[in-house]
Amino acid sequence: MNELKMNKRKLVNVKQASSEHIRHDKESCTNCGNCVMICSMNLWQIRSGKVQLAEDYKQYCLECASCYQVCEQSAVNFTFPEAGYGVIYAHG
Amino acid sequence: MNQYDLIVVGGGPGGCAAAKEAADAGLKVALLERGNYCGEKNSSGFGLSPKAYRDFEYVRDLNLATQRTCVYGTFRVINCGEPTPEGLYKDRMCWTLRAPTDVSYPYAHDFMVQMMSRADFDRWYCEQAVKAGADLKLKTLVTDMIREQGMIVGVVDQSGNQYRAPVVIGADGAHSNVAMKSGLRTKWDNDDMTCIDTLDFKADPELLDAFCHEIGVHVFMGKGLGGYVVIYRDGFHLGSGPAITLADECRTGKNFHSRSITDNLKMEWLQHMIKVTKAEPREYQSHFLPWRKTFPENIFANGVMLVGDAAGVPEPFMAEGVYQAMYSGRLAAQWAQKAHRAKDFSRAFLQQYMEDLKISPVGMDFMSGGTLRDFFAQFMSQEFYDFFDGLGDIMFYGMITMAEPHAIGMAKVLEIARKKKPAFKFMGSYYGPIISATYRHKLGQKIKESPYLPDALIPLVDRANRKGNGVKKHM
Repeated sequence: MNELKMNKRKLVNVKQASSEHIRHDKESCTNCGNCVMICSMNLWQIRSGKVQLAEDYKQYCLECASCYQVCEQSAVNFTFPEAGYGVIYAHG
Repeated sequence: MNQYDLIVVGGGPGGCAAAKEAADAGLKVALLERGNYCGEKNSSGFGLSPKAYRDFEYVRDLNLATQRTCVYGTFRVINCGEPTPEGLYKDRMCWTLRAPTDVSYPYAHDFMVQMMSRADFDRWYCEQAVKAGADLKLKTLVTDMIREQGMIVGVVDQSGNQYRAPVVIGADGAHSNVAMKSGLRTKWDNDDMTCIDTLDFKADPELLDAFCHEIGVHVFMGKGLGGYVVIYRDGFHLGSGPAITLADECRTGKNFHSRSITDNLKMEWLQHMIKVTKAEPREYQSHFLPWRKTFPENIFANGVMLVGDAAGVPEPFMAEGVYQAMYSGRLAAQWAQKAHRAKDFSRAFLQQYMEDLKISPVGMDFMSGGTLRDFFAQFMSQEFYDFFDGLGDIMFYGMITMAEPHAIGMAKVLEIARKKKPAFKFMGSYYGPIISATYRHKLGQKIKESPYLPDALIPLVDRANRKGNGVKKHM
């Protein structure tokens, strides 16, 4: 830890579900970037001015639901991963 | 047919408290949890407060694998202005305080909190509910409610299975499907919500004990920096600064809660602790939770009561939520029993649960909630830093300086106090209103008669009341 760096992604344990639990409605999205700012795992990104959800988001999502909360246009639909899947906090 | 007397959605402390209480009283209870076990989805880690020991007899013998008694808490003021050549922040001062002596019940003197991980605690709590007779269904995600003639009469899980009962307790956390599908809300207000990230470390238990002894929590602040370290038996959590709402983060466009973890790692004392206890990062966690100024009244519907984070009852200062979840869970289960006796599950009947909760120790914190939260939101301000900076110098020069003749040190006290007057005034501007807002509330007399009010506070409460409107209201 001396270099003050950590790789968050290596510190997350997820049992990946097959179905999607976040849906991004690009039609109603205004690319305001609140979701990009709020995600602790940087799973939302802006590419050429357009907001998009990382393809591998299911591997790292911590299921906090704050992307759903901060979306001003309700363009983010967040449901939880299938029961029994998703993030596992062994030391929560 | 899955017919029950009560369905509890969510196997955290709120849901387990509710399920245990109702099952103990003889109700047929289903406890539905979306994880593979209770505690799998909970990231906060926490300190079980003395209040829980006072009000819940069954936690008193608790001895879990990660549990560690926190007798002392350390408060650190960090000087972010002058980093070391390595870019680390040094302590300006560090106080270690014992649990207070002037308290209204013994547990409050014996320890500050009992630190433990939620993975441990929730699993234990769930076992208590099952022992009491609750029917636990793991890997069960509630996706919808069953509605008949305007009443909620059960829930549906992700596979389409129905579970029916005349009353449902929603204990499914901040992003509560029960709340949303019952029509109680679609979203929170961003100003009522916060996000806290935590970085979990594993550490050598013996070295940890040697380093921390009876210290269980380190709280720290500096200008623009804040957070906590809580210590368990096998490691510790580093938490981000808890003094920012999602509304603040959206307004500034800055994610404070994640950046805070990186900033907090720059504290020299923490790097020292990591080194000495041979600590290594083990898990990264994020926790989305309500942090409200006002008591949430919209927590009941026809056949539904919300508890814990789903209800939004974490207290408005440091957002403690486990005791609040346990208390509201138990209370909701008691109202579920009364509803069965009265054969009335209507919104009008269940409103009594909300009213009871509002005058309980959980609701009391919200009577001065606006001031409490505003105060804590100043945690990382220059004024807050200046206050402690001044206080430290006053104590140092007034009592223990070996740098100058003592009389000169004592004389310096007044000088420092004058210089730091704005900081002292700043602290005072919160203190009075917090006490008086609680007391002047229409339930003030009830609070004064309450066994929960420490004796030491009664004269202050009286004085605040005598002054009446003379107490300046904080704007």
